[in-house]
Amino acid sequence: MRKILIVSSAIAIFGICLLFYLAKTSKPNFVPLNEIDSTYVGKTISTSGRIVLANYNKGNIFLIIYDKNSSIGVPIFSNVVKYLTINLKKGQKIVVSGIVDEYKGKLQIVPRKASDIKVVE
Amino acid sequence: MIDYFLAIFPGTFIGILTGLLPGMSINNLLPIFLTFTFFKPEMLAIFIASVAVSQLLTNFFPSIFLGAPSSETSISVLPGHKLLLEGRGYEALKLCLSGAIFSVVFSLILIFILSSFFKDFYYTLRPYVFYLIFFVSIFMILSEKQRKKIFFSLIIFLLAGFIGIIVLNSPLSSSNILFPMLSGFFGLSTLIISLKEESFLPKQKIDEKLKIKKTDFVKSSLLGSIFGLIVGFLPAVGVSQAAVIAQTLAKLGDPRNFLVTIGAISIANEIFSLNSLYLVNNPRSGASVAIQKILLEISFQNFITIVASILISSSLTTVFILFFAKKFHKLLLKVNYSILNIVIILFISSLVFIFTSFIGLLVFFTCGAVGILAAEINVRRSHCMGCLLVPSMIFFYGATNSVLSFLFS
Repeated sequence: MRKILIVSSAIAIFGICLLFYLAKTSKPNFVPLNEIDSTYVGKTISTSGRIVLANYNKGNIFLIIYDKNSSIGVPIFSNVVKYLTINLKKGQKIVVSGIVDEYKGKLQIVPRKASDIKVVE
Repeated sequence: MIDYFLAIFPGTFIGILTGLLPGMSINNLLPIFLTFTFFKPEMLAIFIASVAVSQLLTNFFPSIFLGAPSSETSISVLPGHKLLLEGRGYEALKLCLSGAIFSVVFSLILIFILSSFFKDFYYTLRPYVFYLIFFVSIFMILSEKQRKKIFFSLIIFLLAGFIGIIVLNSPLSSSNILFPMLSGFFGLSTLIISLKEESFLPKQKIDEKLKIKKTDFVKSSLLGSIFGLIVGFLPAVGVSQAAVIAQTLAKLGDPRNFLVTIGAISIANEIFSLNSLYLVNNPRSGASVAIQKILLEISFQNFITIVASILISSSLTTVFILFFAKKFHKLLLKVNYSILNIVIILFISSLVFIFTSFIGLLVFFTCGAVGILAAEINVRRSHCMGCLLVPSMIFFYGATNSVLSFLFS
């Protein structure tokens, strides 16, 4: 087998394993709410804001959080809601991590697990 | 009137300078530009549009002549380098730039005809994007024809896809992370293979005549304009994915047709992105977000002036870059090509480190290794585009959260 094939395979496998480990253990980058735009779609980030709307509907919770003249939707689906130990209500300041998505032309941040939502104030 | 040129000329100049540095994205410069309070708001928007367009076009130069691409031009390395090693690097550059200039005209015509349908078009198109990317990926892999090659290309596609998910969707993702990923797959692998094969750079032919049929040129440029506008609508789909889709659907096997299409897609996408605020009320790139912050709302007059600045800036950049390439190729012949390749690898590695730190370097070398692996097992390196196609497929299937939960929880 050619030497370059063995070396490139070894580097590729080692690199992928290390990247996977780092991705699993890293915390998402914090992005201020007013800096989140469509270029973040598909990325996992963390942001914070004050809840201005909390709508409970069929086991899901739909939040709108606001900070520095910007707002973003935070849909928390029932599979996450059932593990939530906190009661989310209007006026609370939260830090939320999740993937940025676009729904009906508007950006939203979708948390994956209950620990992705933390009330800070 | 003179005010406009006072914004376009410096914008074009800065775009050319920064475009020569692979990995230098306009997004890195926008925070500085937003402090330029000496410009009136409309002039600052024109300045930013000029930088964006000229930087994009200039990127093709290091991509083709040095194998050092930025994220937007990475896919042009493979056909561009092929022509460079045939002594036709100048022609490769001219094909990209000519495709881009024609696309400016085509895109503007398409925008004027279709502008009232754009908003509905996005919602109509979105449910079908998953299927489009899925079938293009299958078709791309099956195009290898031999069973063994199909198997290997599937492995490379999935490996690249897995890296793409880690790099683009996980917490490792950052604003510049596309640069080390695509430079690794397409730039680093090209340079190391050239070193290994002890390639030498033949004398470059400065032939103003393009070796492409007029009908093929128009077809490729028009196709690129349409695809550039389509990807302009869609989040999570970029120029490189569009180039692969166009190449697969239109069977653009010839590197010349492909280069014209890449040039056209890049500029059409940029035109749409810069004017997305006016066309779909939604900014689609860092530059358009900045323009939104500056102008708050884009009027029809703003739209026209931005379009005019794009036209002027792209023409000026094309003339300058082609002139520069004519001079530069003589310099290339005077240096040892292997040493030049090593210097470029070190240079790109330094830029990767500056822009994306150690994580970027890890991504760069891992992706480079996968790119070399693809070449060594004799399958096309374009399968590495799985790094973008797989995350896009998962996104449009609505499964990004489930996949991330499965992988990282």
